[in-house]
Amino acid sequence: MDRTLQILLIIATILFTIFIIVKTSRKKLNYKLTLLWLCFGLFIIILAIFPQIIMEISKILHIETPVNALFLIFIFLLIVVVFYLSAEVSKMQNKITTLVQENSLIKKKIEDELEKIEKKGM
Amino acid sequence: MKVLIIIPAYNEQNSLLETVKGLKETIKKDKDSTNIDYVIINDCSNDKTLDICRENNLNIINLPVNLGIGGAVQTGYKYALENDYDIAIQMDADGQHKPEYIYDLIKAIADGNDMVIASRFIEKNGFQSTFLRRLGINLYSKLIKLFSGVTIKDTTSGYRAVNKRIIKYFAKSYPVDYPEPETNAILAKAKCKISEIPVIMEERKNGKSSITALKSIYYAGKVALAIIISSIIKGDIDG
Repeated sequence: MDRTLQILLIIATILFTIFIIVKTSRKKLNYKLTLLWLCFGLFIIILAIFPQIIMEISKILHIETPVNALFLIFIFLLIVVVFYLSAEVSKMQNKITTLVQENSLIKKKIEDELEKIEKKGM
Repeated sequence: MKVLIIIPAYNEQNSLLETVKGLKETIKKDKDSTNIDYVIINDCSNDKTLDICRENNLNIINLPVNLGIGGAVQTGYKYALENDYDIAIQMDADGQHKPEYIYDLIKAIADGNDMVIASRFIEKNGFQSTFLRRLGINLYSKLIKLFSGVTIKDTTSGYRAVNKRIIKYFAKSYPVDYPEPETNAILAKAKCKISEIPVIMEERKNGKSSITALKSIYYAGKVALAIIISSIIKGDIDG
């Protein structure tokens, strides 16, 4: 792996990590996801510091240039993250649906009871 | 027996009132002791649907955000469960479904069926839907037959009645969009007793189908997939 690329990766990841920590401290990101992204960052730093890992992987997979192996790993990790997020969105959607339904049913109940009381009062 | 008629409504200002009036007249004519109520689920319409309901003092549940047809209808089933109804009938607000058939549906449930579907394709009278939709309906029918051996002809009919057992299940679990074929597959797989009664349906008077041309291809695939997946998974609806 090229030295410039190595340094670039390390700097970008450090900035990224700082960004994540700031976001978390401002409660803009849940700890569950913070951990995911910090692990992601740690992984990239390890790859940048020890380029032998990438070299070895590209040799095993018969990939000519190590940077392509790097891309492959990144794409794979991103697919995992995107899938995780779409599963989270589905879960969230179900929760919202249930909340909306319960909310409207309770509102309906209150309206009906109020109507009953009004009728009795008259 | 307490019967609830669930009418999901999304932007139905032109036909809702007429539909409900027709339904109320049909219920009034009834001499039996059956207790028939209705409830409209307003799925956050952005036309005057809500105003019309309030003005005419219709029984309505108002959803604060748009949930789509599945979420709206499920709200009706939850309402049915909460208020201890024995039978729930799903009916469209657009005037496609004639209210007089509710008695045939109720009778078929009383005869011991878990679900009864009002079907256009038994006597093949009235509005028979468009060619492409019939193609889809047929495909779903064949898929359900293949996976669970049950024959359901009008797999997309939104006019159907279910008993208490299914009300309980639907209140707990109901598909998000285009739910009819999927629930049919689930119930068929779970060996519920399903039957169809012949009805004549009208062409919709107002409003468009919720399924537009471009979406229909996506939906056709989605529904077919949903039928296959729900058919593979072992059906247990009471747990």
